[in-house]
Amino acid sequence: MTDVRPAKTLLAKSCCDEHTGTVDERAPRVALAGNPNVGKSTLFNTLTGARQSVGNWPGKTVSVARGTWRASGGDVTLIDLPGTYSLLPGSPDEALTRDVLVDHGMDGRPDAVVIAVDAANLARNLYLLAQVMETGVPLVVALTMVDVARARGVRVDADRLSALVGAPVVPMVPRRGEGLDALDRAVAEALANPRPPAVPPLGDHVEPALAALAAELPAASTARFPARWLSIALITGEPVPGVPDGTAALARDLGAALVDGDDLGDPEVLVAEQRYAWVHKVIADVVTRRGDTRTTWSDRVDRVLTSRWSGAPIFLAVMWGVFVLTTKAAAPLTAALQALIDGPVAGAAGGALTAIGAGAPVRGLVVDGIIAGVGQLLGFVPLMAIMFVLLAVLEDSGYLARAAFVVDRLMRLIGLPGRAFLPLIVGFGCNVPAVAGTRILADRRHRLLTGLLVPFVTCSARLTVYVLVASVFFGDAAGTVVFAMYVLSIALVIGIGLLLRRTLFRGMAGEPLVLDLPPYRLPTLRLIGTQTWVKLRAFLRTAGGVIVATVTLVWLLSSIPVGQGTFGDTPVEHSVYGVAARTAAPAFAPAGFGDWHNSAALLTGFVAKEAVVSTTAQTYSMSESAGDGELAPALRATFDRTSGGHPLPAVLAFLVFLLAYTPCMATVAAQWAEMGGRLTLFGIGMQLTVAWLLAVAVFQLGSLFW
Amino acid sequence: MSPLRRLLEEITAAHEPVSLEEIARRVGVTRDEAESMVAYWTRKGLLTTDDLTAACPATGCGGCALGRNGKPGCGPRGSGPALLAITRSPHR
Repeated sequence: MTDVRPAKTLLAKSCCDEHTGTVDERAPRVALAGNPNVGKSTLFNTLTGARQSVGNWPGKTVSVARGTWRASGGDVTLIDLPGTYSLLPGSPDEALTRDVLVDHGMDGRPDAVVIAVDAANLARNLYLLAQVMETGVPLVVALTMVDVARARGVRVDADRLSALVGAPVVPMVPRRGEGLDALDRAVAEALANPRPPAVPPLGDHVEPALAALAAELPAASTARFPARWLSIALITGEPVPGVPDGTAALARDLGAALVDGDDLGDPEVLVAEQRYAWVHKVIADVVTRRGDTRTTWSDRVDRVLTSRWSGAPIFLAVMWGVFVLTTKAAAPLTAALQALIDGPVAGAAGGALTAIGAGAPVRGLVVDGIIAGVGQLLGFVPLMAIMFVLLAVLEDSGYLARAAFVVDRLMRLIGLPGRAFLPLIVGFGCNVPAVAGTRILADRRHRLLTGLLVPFVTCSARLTVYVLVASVFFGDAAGTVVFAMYVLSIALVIGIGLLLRRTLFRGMAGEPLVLDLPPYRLPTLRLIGTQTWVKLRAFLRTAGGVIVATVTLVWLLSSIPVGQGTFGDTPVEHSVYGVAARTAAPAFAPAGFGDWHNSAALLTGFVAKEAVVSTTAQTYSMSESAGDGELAPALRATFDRTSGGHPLPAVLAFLVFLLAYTPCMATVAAQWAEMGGRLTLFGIGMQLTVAWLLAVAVFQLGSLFW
Repeated sequence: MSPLRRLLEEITAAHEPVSLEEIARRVGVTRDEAESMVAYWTRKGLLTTDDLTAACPATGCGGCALGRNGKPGCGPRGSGPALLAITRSPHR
């Protein structure tokens, strides 16, 4: 060792330090640096074992670990610096790493640096390496993850890399202990004969400016900081302590001259361009890639799945498959569950309530309200579970990312910026966060237009109504009908978007978007199971709450008589609820579903779509017109009657209205917060108008042929 | 023009969605280099990256959380492949 300095206090001894070992203050110090997640900490743990301590760096709030490495040449104090992508710090952690490497006046500075470089992701790691090389600190490159790189068909020529970097390069797999001896020898050599690494050239444009500044740097500054690093830092505008004003002004002038006429006007970009040029050259020199058939296969598949011509049809076909499979597979399970709840469960509850002397109103609330409503919801559990599983498979395989690519292209048709599709995609799950998600759009007009379109994206709460109604009226074709609702939803977003863009929102500029498509992979059972369970539980929790609340409210309103009867003893048609629904019903007559049961369901649907199915079940269950809880025949009878013998067009009109009108009060509240009252009310008016016009058109045209 | 600058231009001039793989091909660098360059421009504040979890569309209304750090916060984040959207920073 050439430089055995007096003992220094490396780590502040505070109450919070966790000492699990002792560190010899006289031992040479080696810092371990690198990008996050490159195996740096694994290497640190492997080398130091239990001989570690953790504490704040003196004068800093950043915590670092240090430990004793029993190297062959004697103990070495190893310092695990925070992971960083760049020496241009963006956080206190990164600032500490930078300061440790460049500030010679810093207490506890290392004698050498081991920089961990991930062989499987060389480019990002080489950029940091280039910056570390500029500091002139003696270094050793620990080339980690060579096994992962090898598995990907990537081979890194360590000898060639060593020649280009001007420092030893040690290929290793720390968790297997591979390469530790070679690292030991390389570090011992770096400590015994410290020498600076090579210097990545910064090009004919930047180098003369650096040389001009270097010649003017005061001795005090170069004693504290490496001259090259200091020149680069000052010219690129990085604040450096202790530099005289005159030197800083010269650096500013040189930097300004460098970017004269440059549209970005940032000297740091010029330096980064040269570093990346060096990285590119190094990669070209040291990396060889085996012909990777998986990449070729993935590229070919992507070309088809994201193609302008085949992407959308494939996406539609996949979603059709999901809905058909979901409805067909779930139908028998749903029927069995609902029969169990409508029959034995409702019977037992009714019997028990009668036995304890509960009155008709309470029996009505529990049996006709809560059990009927929650029972309908539980009946949909198999359906939701199957759909969540299928969507999780699509997601985990990487296909949904390709679908987002296709949907984004559709969004551009209506002139919305690329990122506007994010909230709209979210809207397929729930409109509320989708409206809140419009905040990611910088342009206010983009936000408002997207916020107005979100309610036309069909959320998963509407799915339960589609499935119930489509199953009753369309049998085996129910999946296709549900799929058609999703297609119509996309068409509505595009159509209304085009309309608004040409009227209220003229002259909006687009915004670019690059999608980093993830690799394909086989979905895992564990992940699919977890995702399905979490989503199902979340849906049931809130939907259950909404249903119990609305069922209770509907029961209360339907127990209050208008004109005749007493509380709890009045036909539902003559209750407050029934009268309100009857008043609204004629508005739907031109659409073929002008019945109070339907308008009642749509009224509660304004509060939350989760409540539509339960309200339908509740109103038919309470109504004298329905027999013994048989919902399907009652529904058929209603639509037969209201449509004048054209029930199928009327049912489709009902579903279209349900798709297009106001999704729920929570969405209205979110819109109010994001867009203000006026535009929210305009949106509600637009939704109701579009929904009514479409429903009437569907019924009137449909009844001509069907 | 340097690959670093060309990558920024390719992304900001994209008139339709394009994959990072394709951008890397156009710029003449490896995907790894392109990722590193995107990270550089993101640090500089000229690009933004959004981790789009595809978990959202499958989540029911009951599973939603109203916005998370100003971004959509619907449902749990899966550990499956994450789609990354890269756009010009709205703040520049």
